[in-house]
Amino acid sequence: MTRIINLTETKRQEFTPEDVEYNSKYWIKSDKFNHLRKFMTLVGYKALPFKSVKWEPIEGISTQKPRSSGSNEVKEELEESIRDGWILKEDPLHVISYLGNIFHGTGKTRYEILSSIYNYKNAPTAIWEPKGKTEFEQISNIEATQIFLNSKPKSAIAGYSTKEDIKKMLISTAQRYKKAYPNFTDLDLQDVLTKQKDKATKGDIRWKGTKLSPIINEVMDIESNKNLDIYTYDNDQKVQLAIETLKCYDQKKLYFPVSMETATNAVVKGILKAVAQKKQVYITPYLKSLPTSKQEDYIKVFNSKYKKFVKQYKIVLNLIKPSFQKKVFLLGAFPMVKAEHAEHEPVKPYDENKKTS
Amino acid sequence: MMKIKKLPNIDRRAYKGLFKPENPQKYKGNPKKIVYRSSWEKRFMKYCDKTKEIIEWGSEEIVLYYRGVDNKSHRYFPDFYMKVRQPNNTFKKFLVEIKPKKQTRKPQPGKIKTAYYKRELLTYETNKRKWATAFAWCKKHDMSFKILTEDHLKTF
Repeated sequence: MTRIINLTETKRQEFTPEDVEYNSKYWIKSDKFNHLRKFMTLVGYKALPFKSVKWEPIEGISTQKPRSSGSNEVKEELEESIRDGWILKEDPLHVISYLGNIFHGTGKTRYEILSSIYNYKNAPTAIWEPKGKTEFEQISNIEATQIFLNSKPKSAIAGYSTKEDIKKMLISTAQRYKKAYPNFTDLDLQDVLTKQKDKATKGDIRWKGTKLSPIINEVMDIESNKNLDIYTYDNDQKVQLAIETLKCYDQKKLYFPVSMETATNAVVKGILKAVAQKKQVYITPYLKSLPTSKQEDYIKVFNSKYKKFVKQYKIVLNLIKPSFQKKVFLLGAFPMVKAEHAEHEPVKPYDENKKTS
Repeated sequence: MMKIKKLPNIDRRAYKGLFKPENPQKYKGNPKKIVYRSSWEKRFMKYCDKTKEIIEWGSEEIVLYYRGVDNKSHRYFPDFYMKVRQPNNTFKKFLVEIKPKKQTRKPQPGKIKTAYYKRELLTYETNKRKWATAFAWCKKHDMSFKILTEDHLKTF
């Protein structure tokens, strides 16, 4: 797992232009760096400029309190080691800078990170910052990298490249996404999970030819917003989504779907809502949901029954033409109808063993 | 009398096979693994392969997730993905599903509600959910979703 190091307590380490120039051939201009950059770009990182990294000591190695001998040897040695340590001597470490903290991708403790730098053995070849506009995106990038770079201690590698790991990672992503965006839909979630899966596995030979969409399916089953699916329309959000998918959708208009039982009530309710918002009212009832079989009759009935109401609020009744409905029907967008088949009987999964009369 | 075992009717099996594109560079995905599951699909694949306006196409390359009748998440692979050049030199992306016309309409019950009718109704409901998901997904991604039936494909 990643560890967070707080770097806020101490002073900034400065580098001279000569330092930067000298070390660039071991860092940005090196072949290894270029190789790694391809991968890191793929998983959503950018390399930080050499000077922008805050190389500062942290708690554990004190910078404020000098030792009993007088001078702070540890601090001095650490500073030197960081400066000299830019020369690549061994395999690269995976270090990420994020919001002023450094994440270490190898699963080592921060003591180990520091001691490795301190001992001149492992110098970080690059400092990476996760891309992303929001905190959610940035953390997701960090998480996906853990799978992609397989950045655990070597002893744990065998148990890390399994489908279970990817599932865990996707579940945590989904949970974080739900927190960040409480009004999410299934469509949003599946896009987020697919992106995250791609980041963690695309271009990785270990996962070539492996079908990972069943894992997303499992995660969707666990984490999707079951109260907000797009097939039943029993709350306002769902209805809004359904209406927006209509071909005739116009942002300027207000839509109020009505059912057969509550057609008139819903219209009145909708009008009162719209009036509160000071908007012109357009009503688009679906043909089959009207109390009368003909749409023109419905307008007559409504107008005669609510004559004053219609005059007072300047209501325009706007009905979908039957020919247009057919088109919508063919496209599969039939959202305005609430459980159409329920008029006949509820649909249950078909049981082959059951004999029908 | 001796009973004669009935042989399976081979002709009723689904028309299925591998499609070899003439322009594999246009295909998004592995061009060696393009499977058609009906003669209509095969016909549409030929159309995609040969038409100049279709810059990019793929068969069952996009995965969508929808909630089925059992209230569980399922996968849905729309039949085709297409990127088409429009007359005004802009590009538009499509998801296409090919279905027999019969399956796009709600089955009508007879005097007796048979098992066949129930199965049909279930298929229809599942399809409707798939298409509602695809329709909404396409809207979100600035694409359009089309269902083609034999009526459309006869002209290809």
